[in-house]
Amino acid sequence: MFGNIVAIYELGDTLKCYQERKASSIGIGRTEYMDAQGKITVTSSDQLLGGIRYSPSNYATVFPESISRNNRYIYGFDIYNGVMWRDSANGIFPISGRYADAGGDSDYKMATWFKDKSKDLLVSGIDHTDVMSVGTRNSRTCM
Amino acid sequence: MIFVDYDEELNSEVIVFHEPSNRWICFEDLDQTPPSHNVMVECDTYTILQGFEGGLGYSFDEDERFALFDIVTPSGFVTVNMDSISLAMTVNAPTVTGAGEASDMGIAESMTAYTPTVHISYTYFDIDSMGFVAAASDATYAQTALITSSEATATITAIPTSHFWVTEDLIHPLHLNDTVYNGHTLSIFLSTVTLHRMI
Repeated sequence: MFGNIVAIYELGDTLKCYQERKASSIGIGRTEYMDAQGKITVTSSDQLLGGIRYSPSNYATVFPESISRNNRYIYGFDIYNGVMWRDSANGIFPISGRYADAGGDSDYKMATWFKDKSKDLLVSGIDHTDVMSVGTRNSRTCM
Repeated sequence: MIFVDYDEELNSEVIVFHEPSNRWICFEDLDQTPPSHNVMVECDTYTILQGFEGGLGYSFDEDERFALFDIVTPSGFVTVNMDSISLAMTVNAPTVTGAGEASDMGIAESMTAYTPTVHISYTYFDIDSMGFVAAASDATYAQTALITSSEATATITAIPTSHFWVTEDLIHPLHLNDTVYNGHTLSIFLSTVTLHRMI
């Protein structure tokens, strides 16, 4: 529905699944129930994998090598949205520019650079393009 | 993040995100890790936790259930001291090739003017040294002169036209434009004249 599965990562008790146009989470050994008011309750299950919960955002990637895990974060690059995103237990958020969530506003001040880079790569053609990421332990950088 | 565009080099860049401070901190020089460098590099100042080998981003670990993405380090593991990297340079001897075309306005010429040589030949009869006796007026007696010339030959350009005829050793009689030779003898004869008595 959202393209091929690009990568699957385990993050705690959640299996992070990244398709070409959408990211989703699958509970490991637990399942979720939603009551009539829309409240979600998570319970343990004898099933290995629970239900699929899709991300409300459309951040994903077509570059498997762009996804890397560093500590409790998973990073990836979405060329169609022109953003670098980071996935965690709180959800998936862009880290290339400005965004707002319940915890407050953040601005990484690189929105234009990533959008221009995405546009240049799309014009050149992604069939001969590689986007890769790598994390380092000591300096805790991701490049 | 490493962007590699194999068709447009300007699109290839590396940008570094610092996780503790949540900031994009710098760009890196992609040329320092060329594609031909197919082994992972461990630097003195930090350790690479994850990477890619031969285009594969990760490997599946059955024991850790996705918990560990182990990138197998090749056997040719290389340690590089980032503070001391030596470079070798070879200075090639330059080759210079030049070409030119001469201007036709600047070609020097050399001329030598030789001194002209003028030869003048003549045969001179001195009238004072010539004379005919009465008995010699039968046209068999001639007054002679030796041809003296600075050249081997001379051309007759003037000759008496009345009462005389002239011969050379080889020419009888001599005419205008005839050629005479140095050392030959000219003979001038008195023609027969008719005398009239005056009454």
